[in-house]
Amino acid sequence: MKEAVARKQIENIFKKYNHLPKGGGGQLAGITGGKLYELYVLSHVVERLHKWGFSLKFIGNTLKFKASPGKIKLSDPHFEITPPHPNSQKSLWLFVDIEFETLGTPRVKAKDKSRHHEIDIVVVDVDHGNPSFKNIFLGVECKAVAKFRKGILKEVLGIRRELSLLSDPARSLLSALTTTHLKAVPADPPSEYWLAHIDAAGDGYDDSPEAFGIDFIHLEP
Amino acid sequence: MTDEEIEALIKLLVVQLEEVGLGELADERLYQIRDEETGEGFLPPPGKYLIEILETFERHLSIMDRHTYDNALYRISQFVEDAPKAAVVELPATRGVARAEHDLGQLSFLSDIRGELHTLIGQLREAGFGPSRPRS
Repeated sequence: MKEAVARKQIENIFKKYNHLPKGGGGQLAGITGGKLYELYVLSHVVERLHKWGFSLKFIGNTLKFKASPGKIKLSDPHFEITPPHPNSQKSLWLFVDIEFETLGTPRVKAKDKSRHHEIDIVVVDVDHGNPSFKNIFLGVECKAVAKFRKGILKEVLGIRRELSLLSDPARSLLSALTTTHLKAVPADPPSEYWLAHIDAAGDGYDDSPEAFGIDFIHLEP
Repeated sequence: MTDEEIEALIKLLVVQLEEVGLGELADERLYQIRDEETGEGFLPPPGKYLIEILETFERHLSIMDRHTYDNALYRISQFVEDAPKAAVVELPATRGVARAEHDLGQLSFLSDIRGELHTLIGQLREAGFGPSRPRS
């Protein structure tokens, strides 16, 4: 390939990009990209849950992502999840952009900003307030950063630490409700915790976190 | 293509990204590789570096594309009863500005641009762009 040809192609691409209608740039563009990725990951999460036999129903008109995470409110748009297990009476809900109460909080009666951490997508068994780490069946972190860096790994290791203690592998809370999703996690409580990342380079960081029950999932639109 | 010609393409790409407000995608620090033995940081060889910046731009476009939005809502509709027809982002109130909603369905379709970019990356790969020598 000649340099002049590549140059022309790059210039053409940016010429077209410049002719696009200008939405909100800067910070708004950053929020939009992150939340669109969250929507994309969510679509894969519901597909997996359906595949494992869970029934899902959306409650609300429009799906709403929040630039600032908060508490669970049934008045917010959300998904109701019914487990497939015939004997299970468990009710589950899927919410986005929620802050949970950390594992350390009840141990030291924490009152400061360390009490809560955000998770992008959660499946929980409570329908109000800040769910406790005990209420989380599945947490999904969505990372649409330009390049995967080790800082992301450190971040998810920190969240995992505040969700569960390291323990012998046990059947995950989600897995216990189905017969088609056999999953053991080395965590107590045995919540599942996934890191969805857009940059394939993230797969180069997944060996050690597996020991703590963190699943890396490369999803690129 | 010589290393000097590839360097010229990298320079062009960086300028173009800066001009459209996406200069952070070309930040050298994102592409630095650390030598495990010496701890020294270095950039990939020029050909690989060029492709990596283009791929970063490609990923950025994928999460700004109306097609990604439509695709996600369609997938949800296949597995969820009473599936949502739209998605918004709730922006918090700031000083002097009330809480607002940003409709993700207002995004532009970027399939053309993404297609051209994907083709260019493929052509560069076919041309054998790969590691030659690390740049310090």
